Amino acid sequence: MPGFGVQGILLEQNKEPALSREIKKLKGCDECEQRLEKPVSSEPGLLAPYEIVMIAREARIIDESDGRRLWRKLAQAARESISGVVIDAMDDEPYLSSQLGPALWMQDQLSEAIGLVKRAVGANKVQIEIYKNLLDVDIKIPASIGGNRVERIGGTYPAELRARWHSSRKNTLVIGAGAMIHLWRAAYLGLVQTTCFVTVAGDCVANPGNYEVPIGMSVMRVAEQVGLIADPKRMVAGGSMTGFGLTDPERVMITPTTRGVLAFAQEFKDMGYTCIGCGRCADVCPEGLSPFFIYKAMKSKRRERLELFDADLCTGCGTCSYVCPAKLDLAQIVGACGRLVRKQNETVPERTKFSAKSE
Amino acid sequence: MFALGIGLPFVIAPSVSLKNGVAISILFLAATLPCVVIAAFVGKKPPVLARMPLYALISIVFVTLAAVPLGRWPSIRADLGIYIPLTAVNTLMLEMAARHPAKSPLSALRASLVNWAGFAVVACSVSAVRELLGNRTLWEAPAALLPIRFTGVSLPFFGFILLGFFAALFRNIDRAFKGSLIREREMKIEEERGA
Amino acid sequence: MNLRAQNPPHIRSRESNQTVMGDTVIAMLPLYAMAFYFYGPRSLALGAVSCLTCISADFVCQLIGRKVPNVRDYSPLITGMIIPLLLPASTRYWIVVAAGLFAICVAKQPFGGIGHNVFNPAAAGVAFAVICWPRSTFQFPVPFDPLPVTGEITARLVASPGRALAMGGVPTTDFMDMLLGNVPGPMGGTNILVLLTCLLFLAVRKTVNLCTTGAFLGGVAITAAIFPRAVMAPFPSILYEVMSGWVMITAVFLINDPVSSPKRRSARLLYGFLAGVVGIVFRHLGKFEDSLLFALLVMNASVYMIELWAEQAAHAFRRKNRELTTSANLSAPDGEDLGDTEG
Repeated sequence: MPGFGVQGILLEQNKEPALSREIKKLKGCDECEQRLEKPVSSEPGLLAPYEIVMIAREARIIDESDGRRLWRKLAQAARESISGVVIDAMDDEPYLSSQLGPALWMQDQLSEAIGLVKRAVGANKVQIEIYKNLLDVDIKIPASIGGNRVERIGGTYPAELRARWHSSRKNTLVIGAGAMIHLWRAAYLGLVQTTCFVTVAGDCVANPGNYEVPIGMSVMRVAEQVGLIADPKRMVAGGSMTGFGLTDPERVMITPTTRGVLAFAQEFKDMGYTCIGCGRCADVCPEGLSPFFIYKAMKSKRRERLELFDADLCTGCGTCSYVCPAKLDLAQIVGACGRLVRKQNETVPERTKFSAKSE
Repeated sequence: MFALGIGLPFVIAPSVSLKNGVAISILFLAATLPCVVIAAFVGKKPPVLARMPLYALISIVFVTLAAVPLGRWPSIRADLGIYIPLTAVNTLMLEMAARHPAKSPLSALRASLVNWAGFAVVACSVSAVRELLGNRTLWEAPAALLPIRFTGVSLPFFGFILLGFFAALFRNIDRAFKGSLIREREMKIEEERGA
Repeated sequence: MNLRAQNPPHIRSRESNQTVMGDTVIAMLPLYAMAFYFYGPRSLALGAVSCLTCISADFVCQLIGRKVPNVRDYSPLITGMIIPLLLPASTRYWIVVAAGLFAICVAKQPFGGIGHNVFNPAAAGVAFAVICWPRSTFQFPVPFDPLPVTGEITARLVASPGRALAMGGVPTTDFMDMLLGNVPGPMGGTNILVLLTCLLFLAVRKTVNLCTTGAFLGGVAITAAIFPRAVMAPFPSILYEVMSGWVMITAVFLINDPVSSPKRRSARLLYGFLAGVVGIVFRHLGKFEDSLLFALLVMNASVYMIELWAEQAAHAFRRKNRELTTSANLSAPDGEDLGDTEG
């Protein structure tokens, strides 16, 4: 198993109040609605497998958990024999609930979509994975959705990567909950995917919640429509642990894999701390790496032992930077080192959320 | 000029007082100087395998001659102990001798004198500091710099530490000196350009 | 809107260098309180002098090295607070000053300052004091005897239980007294109960690693049980060795010094255990009554090797793990979707 023992950090999820609010559509969603060319079938529950895959293809559905097109995933899963299907409604990063929200608020649509997928790939074991750690006592997770078992994944962050590792060993198909909702809409309502689910949260946001946002809308407009109570000092597109910091939100567009838009009022001041060698980074790394040594090697430009530190195994979870008391940007440095090492030997493929094997 | 002598054990272990430091410097001179000069005269004439023993022999003779007057100060002889014969066969001398097989004796003389000067300065400074701090004397006359006596400085570890500090100090002086030379040169170039 | 783009993650833990070092300082305050209770205001004066020396020496050295001193860096304060705790309360002030200067100017700053020092500065400073003034550092005042803050010490100075062990005899002090600190000994090293409380506090705040402390005490205990310094049963030998001298204060503060100890858990366990074993061996063979600090310095020097071994072991483990997982994985996804135009 990755890492040695259970490593990682227990994070406060901060998903409320976003999760308990209904998913609202932003202005612009209705205007960009697009219909499929073929008429909607009267009995969507009896569609043939190849028809379901064609509907997914024409609706241009993209799975938000790994950015791949849904039809390709379904087609490949149908070709290879798989043991089961997993619906990914895990949002292990704090503030995000863009998969959990649709899974909990649109349960009927989710269960009907699961039926479609079962027929498409010919699997009968389906489970829905939801992340809930010890500190979340407010979130209520049902035991099953539409007859499909809900698997509660607990543990420390990064739980999603760990769960993907397990599912890749067991030969399963993983689909995000948002993509399932879009598949339902394509099959039952004949709609092309033109929107995606985004969590807008943070202490500068007036009404934090999950919103349906047209793909291609600028982050600034999303934030304005949702409402900002103060001028944010930091805006993030993506999750709180792995998202991108923005300087120009007007020019950044929402894509199907942008799971969140966060706006914070506090900025991190540079306190002039240096590394004190506390070793917390090496203690929490889920992959068992030592960001301390990689940091030292990159800073001092001594490159003799870089291969020893296996920086190319880094998954980019950001746990090391989170725990560092000196507030160093360890995740960046380890990532840079990993790219350096990977360039030197092109054998090990990159292993992050977006390219984790999920078939 | 202030190239530091790298004969570490000789600088550190016996140099506990200034008299010891001076004595070891004299011995080092006796070991190195004649050997290097003779090596410059002799050149490549002796066969390769015989060169090292020859230089060692010359050095031993001269060190023995220089160590005879030490009988007058038995305490120094006791302090220096094994380092007297060791100085005769130290590798620094052998290396310098091997470097000047056919060069002119004058340049050999100059090189070895300069090298010895560096060694002597370091040995004397280290031993002076250690005597001041450890014994509160200098050349065995009371010279109380501080009201307390650090008896631990007579141990070899403090010699290493002192050596490190001196190395840093000389490097800084060297850098500052070179830096000022470079600055002068740059200023001259700017003047010429402007003129 | 004035936005600053920062690197992910965008949430950070609430700990900072300041809180970590501040916790260590807070943990030492009860020790000073107990020292004040036993030995009077002289202990506080010694602490103040030591802290002042260390902080000013650190400041000057950083200026010489052309670095900007950071006010939030409490490390010279910590070094200054630990040094008197390892020495008797009857130590003269210049010994403490000399130890502090050695600690900062020789053991810490020349190696690179905070984050880069190889040796624990407090241990190095007190080791220097032990070498230079071996008699003064091992003559302790009796608790509750009044000590003057300035001037000559006229109080009676006795040997600690460690001296009896060093001579091969069984100490005559009661275990209860040793737990409560009612024995002559180093100012901060005798209050075993208070030290255990500080350990608990620091462990909860995650400033110290219990695995290092545990490994160290384990090493001490095993070696003391197998090789007692006097003729006695293993269990009393363990108790006497652990409760005399610098063992407990090393276990709580010195061995957990973040900079000079290894980073990986496996390396820390090995380091702690070896430090304990080497410490007791040094006690057997050394000429001072307690040579534990020298053992610690030797272990600090070997941290590089221990870390290298641990990294090599971890590297082999990771690569083996990788082989097993990639062989179990299925075929790669076909084609490349993100650049696909055919939809």
